[in-house]
Amino acid sequence: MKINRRRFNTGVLVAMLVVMLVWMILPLALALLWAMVDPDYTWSYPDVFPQKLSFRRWPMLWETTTLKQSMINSYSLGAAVTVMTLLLAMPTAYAFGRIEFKGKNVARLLTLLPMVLPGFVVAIFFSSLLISIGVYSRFLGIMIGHCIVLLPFAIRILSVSFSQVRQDLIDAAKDLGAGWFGVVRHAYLPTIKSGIFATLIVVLIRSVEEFSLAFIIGSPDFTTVPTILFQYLGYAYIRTNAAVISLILAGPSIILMVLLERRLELANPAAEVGKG
Amino acid sequence: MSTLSVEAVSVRFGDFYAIRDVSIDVHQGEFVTLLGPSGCGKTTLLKAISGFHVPDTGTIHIDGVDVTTVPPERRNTTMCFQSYALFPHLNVAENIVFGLRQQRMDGNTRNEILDQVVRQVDLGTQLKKTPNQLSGGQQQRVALARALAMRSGIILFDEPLSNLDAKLREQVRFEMLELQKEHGFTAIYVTHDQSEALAMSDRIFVMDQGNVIQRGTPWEIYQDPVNSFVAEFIGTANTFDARVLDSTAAGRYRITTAMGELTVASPTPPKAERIKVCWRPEAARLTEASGEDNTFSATVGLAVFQGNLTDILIHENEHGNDLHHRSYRLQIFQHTNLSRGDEITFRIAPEEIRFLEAVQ
Repeated sequence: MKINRRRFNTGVLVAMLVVMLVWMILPLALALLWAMVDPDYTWSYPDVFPQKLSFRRWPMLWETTTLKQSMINSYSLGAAVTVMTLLLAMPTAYAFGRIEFKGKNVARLLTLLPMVLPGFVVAIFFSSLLISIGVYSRFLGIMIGHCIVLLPFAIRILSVSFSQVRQDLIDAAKDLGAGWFGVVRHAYLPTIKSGIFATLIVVLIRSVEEFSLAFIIGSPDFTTVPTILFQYLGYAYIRTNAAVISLILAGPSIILMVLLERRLELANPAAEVGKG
Repeated sequence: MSTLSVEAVSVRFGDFYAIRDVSIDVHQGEFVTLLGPSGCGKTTLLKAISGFHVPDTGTIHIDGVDVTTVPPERRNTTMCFQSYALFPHLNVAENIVFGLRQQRMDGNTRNEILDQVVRQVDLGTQLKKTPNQLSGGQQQRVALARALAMRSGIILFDEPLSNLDAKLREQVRFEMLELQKEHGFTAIYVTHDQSEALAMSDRIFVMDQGNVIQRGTPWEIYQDPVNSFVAEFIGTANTFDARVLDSTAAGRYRITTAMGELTVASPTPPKAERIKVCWRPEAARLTEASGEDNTFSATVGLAVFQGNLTDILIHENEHGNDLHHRSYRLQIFQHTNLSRGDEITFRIAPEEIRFLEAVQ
């Protein structure tokens, strides 16, 4: 009976792993394959594999598109959005995590609203709103847009972090004469730093990958990596080029996700709580 | 070493008074205990003294200076937390000198103090460890060392021993007392453990429902409880509803209770005709003679041998006027092997019976 159950568990685990591998690895592998199709040889039915593999498409795209500028745009936007979102989310997250007040649940629900609105709908009206309030800078426009859309994530993650801060440590720090800075550094920061790190990465990745706001507010001349990707989808569909851009887009995100995962493991707050 | 004076302090949470109109005076170098059941307001009072709660009314003076609204970081008090509240990311030494660092004390003086307190609490080999590598008892020592290092005039203890096992608790109890006498700080100690309070305190403030209901030395509190709550909370007591029959001589009264008729010798007269009385289990003495006053015969309901004494429970259901079923407790220090069902005769000296509050 015991052995059967164990076997069953192992079976389920293996099955899950296979599904996950197919789900995650296969598309990535296909994208890699498509990105390596040589421009002089096509890959079409009935070939199972491309006739010739090469990286020639990559420098070609780098030279013929605004990829370089788009990457600069995407990542500088991402960095600005991340810092702004973090700063804006902190006070709200603090309130949700540490203060009891009337209507807290309603307030929490309201801050989550931007998550459920379809990106394009927000984008279309938001771009006209930006012009009517006199924000003509594309960079600033997209940045504000991203902040609004990504704030729910940041608030959500950070309020959990704030709620895990131990009140007795805050009290002890104050009691031992610590000022504002000392309390933040020794009572808050050790607990919330993993939340801050998670927020930074989630917001950065989502901002870099965001399409609808960047496309509508940025078009026609302000391009980000996802808007370049769009050029190769839809009407002028070039799968090979799209594959290259998606890999360029996904690469850093995957690295960041792995970093985040390791970081969260290392900074597991449960390991720090101690007794009492 | 400081004096503390709390005058008519109330702390309110919404409509609920956590403490109401509480006044206490603590002398220099005194060890006082705020004793009471959970929810009696003792921790709230401690937090008002340390500055975490600003009183709604009343004032708090430390060494004659009004500190009612001074924040905790600028008060000459240090708190020893029930949870120890050690910083998990700092090692033992860093935890102990945390407060000194906040004061920007120079490194040499800091290390001197560190060396001294570490020696006193016997933590020499643990300095580089982090709190979660320590046992509960060791964490408690670090918390104590951190408070001692601050050299505050008043150290506030919020049930500091409640997370330790019984044996360790007793040991640390004595160590803390020694340290307190040595350093001479004024100690305000919150606990719900009456034995801790009796063992450690110069004076005890018994609290209930946000008020101080009795203050005095452990001896006074134990010997002369003001009401049945205090009598039953500190130590064990057999309390009875009684009716005062008459006074036979100056300071001697005859009363009738569920046990039967009793003679009470009390310097203070009863407050009412229908009154609560109590006597401690250890006041009972086995006796041969049955003619004396306050002598009763009973059947042992339960006998628990404790070594130095025998705890006896007597189920009373036939004596007296009140017929509700209850039992009372005797602690017999005489060497007698007693067991369930034995017939015993015991006497309670009239001086051992106390008048408490009037029956409502």
